[in-house]
Amino acid sequence: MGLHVYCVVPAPHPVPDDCTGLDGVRPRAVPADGLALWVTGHDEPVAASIAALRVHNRVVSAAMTTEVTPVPVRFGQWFATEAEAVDRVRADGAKWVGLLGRFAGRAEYGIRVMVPDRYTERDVHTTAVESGREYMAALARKQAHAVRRRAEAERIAELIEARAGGLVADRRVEHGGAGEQLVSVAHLVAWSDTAAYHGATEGISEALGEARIVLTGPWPPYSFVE
Amino acid sequence: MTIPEGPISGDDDLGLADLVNRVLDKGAVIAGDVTISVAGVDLIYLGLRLVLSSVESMRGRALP
Repeated sequence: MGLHVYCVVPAPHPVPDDCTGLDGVRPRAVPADGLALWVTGHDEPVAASIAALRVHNRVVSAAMTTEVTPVPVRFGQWFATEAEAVDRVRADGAKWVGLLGRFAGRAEYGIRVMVPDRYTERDVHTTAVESGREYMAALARKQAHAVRRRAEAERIAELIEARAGGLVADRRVEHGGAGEQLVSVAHLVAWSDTAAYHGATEGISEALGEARIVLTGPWPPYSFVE
Repeated sequence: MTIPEGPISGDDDLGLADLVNRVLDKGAVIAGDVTISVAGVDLIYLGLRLVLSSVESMRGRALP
């Protein structure tokens, strides 16, 4: 039987009684030199699905307290034996301790900004392009559009930073994304600053006009694990 | 002090994209590659790069 790994925590950090993992299995803590892995045992790796991702995230989130913030492990980490998993954690012990220290008392919040994109691929590929010159002109329009979207993303990221930057311990900014997403920001925020952070972010949508904003969290700090 | 509730969690439909992005594409990799199976097709993470390919086809060609 192999192990699906959810997170790394300082030991001891017991799994709550009401915590249920993948396939309905109750997670257990596997100790490793002052650290512990929260795992569940399965006959084979658990397939990814929306339901499975939600269960994985719920287990990692169950490890979050005001004192302990776990290092979340990416879905799909699978070890054939407990000894193999423990050996790998021991090998990078200082790294895990450092991350746990940096995350303690903090959680991740997300801000996703969507702006309608009126440009479509048809502007380049299905316009009645009858010459190389027309095609090159279409490509130039597409490039100019990308530059404008990039500039808009940077402007919005700066606005978010101006509003909330003073309340965050760290940030990750990604420009672009699927569909209408223009920018995505992850913030690492202390629990004690949560109320002020929510207040700071609530006004962002009003300042962005037609942009649509999705605020999410608290998350385990997935975006801050390097 | 208790953990404050947030605006949207991974259990909300609005947070679904964030959930998938975080749980599948971020988070710690303890060792080697992360292999997941979606609808019976094995996908493999190599380092921090998601390669959308079946494991079998990956074996058949060198990575750039």
